Amino acid sequence: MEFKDNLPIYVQIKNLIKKKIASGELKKGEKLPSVREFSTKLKTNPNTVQRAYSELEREDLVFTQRGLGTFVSEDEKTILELKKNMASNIVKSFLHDMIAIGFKEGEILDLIKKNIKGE
Amino acid sequence: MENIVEIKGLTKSYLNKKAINDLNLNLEKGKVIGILGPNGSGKTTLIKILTGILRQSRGEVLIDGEKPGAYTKSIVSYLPDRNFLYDWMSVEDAIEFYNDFYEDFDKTKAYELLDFMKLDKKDKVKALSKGMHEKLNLTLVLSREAKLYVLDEPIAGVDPVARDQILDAIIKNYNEDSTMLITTHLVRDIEAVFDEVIFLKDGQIYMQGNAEKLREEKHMQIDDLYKEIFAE
Amino acid sequence: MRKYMKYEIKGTYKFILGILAVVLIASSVIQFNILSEINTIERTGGFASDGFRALTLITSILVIFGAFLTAFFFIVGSFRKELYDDRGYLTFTLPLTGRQILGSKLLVSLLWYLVLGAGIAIYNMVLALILFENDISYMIRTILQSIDISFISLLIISIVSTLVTLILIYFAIALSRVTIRNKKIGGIWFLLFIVLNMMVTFLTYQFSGLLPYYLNVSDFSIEHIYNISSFMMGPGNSYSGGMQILSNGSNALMFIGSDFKPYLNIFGVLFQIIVIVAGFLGTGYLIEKKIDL
Repeated sequence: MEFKDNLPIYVQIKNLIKKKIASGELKKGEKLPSVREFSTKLKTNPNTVQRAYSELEREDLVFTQRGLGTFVSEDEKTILELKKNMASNIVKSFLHDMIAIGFKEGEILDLIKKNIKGE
Repeated sequence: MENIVEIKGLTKSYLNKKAINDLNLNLEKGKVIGILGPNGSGKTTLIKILTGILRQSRGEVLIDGEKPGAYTKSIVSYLPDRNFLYDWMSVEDAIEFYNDFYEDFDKTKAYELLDFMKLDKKDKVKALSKGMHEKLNLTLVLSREAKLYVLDEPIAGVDPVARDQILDAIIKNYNEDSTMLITTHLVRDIEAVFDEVIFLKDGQIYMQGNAEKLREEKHMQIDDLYKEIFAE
Repeated sequence: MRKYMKYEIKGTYKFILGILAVVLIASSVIQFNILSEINTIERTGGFASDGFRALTLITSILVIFGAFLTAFFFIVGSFRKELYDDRGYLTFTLPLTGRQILGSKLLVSLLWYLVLGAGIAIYNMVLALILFENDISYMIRTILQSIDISFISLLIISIVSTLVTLILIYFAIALSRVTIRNKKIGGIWFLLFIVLNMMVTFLTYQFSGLLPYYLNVSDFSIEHIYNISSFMMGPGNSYSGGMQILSNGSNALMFIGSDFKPYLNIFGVLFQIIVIVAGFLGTGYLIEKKIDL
């Protein structure tokens, strides 16, 4: 993975994992790769991965069991919350971009409907 | 936190120029530190002083509390940016050589790494390609349990597969008790490995800091920061 | 240090053995030439040297000379390479002091000189005795007889003199390396060596001439030159390792007295030993404290 945008790498790793949890690629209760494994895979400093894991833990998205590893939260509500948050962020940034190029609310809604119908 | 390297007022001058100019620097234990700068910024001079193959004109350098000499050489594992092994050696000879001279050398680990790098112990050092050379050298250097690793341009001029293997080996073999100092001008490929970065310009520290903090503050990756600093 | 010597030997032995083989083959050619020459003379009562035989003889002599020169420059080069080539990045980052590295190089070079010298001497002696003498016990006796106190003194003097030469070369190389960074004019070490060598030779003669006290090696008595009655010359310059070991005149480092006992010039030898020690410390200092790869 190449880290390209303007975010710190630990934030990018967090986002990557969040996406995987939201999409279901990482299921609830599933074990995350170990810090060393993951850092090797991403070619990144283990401390950075560790930091991403710690922050995810603070957000209750993952939990650590001593000696066993880090696991995705088993609480469905938390995961649902995450999905909602991510969705709302995507929508917000989409709206922001659309308004920036001069679309009005109604026009945006129409456009979305048309796209969903598959035109 | 404890420092593995302490540098005070370091200056190295040649007839007409100063390669290092009154440089002060402390390096903490357990960090992976990138020294970034173009050719002529003083990277190589600094590294040569740390590894004891060059003496400073002024200032003080302490590694684990000692001036560069036989002791510091026993705790510093150095990867030069050139083929430093003797011509007559085979891969196996080189491993025996390291095993004989460095008490912290782990032969089992060396053979594991050799396997990982897909190198044959019967190969002659002279016959190796550039990428294989780099891998062998790195195998030797990383198979030591050194307090300080000094890797000079470890991924310069190798193909992408070898580069990934080398990065893997660096990450896998990094441990909390040792410090890794890596110089590079190929920042993009390796920046995610650094805890800290030091930008060297004209023999002085231009900027220094935690890599993630710098990304946060400057809103850019270290590679972009590098380009900004050294763009003329 | 012993480890470093081991690898130093490992890295150079093939070359040295190659040189030895070449010299032994060449000297065999010479000896067989002489043998067949003698046979021809005995058979025909006159010289019958043909052109081809003369050519092989001359070639062999040249080969031996060339081989020695090659060995000399190889040994010198092995030190020079440490300071100028990439291998220095390995050598000088080993957990060894400059003196340990220098000492190892010096001892291994000395070892090779002795191996070459002894190898060639013994081989030729044995070959000559086989070719020209039929009595084996006489042969062994002759060899053993030649190892006496004079021989040992001579050996020691050769070693001292070889060490002086080597250390001056090392010092010259190290000094030119740390003062002149340009590799292209690195040949300056040779000039430096010649000058240093001339100085040491001159001073050795001065010391031995001004203080002509000699040690009688057979009974360790010390004699002034005037108390040693008429003396004859030593076995000649052919034994010298290329330096000022033996020479005519009262200030020779060593000579064999008319009583067939070896006499060493005390202050001459002492001065040479001082040169070795000073050169060693000086070169060690240069590669430890002034190194600049």
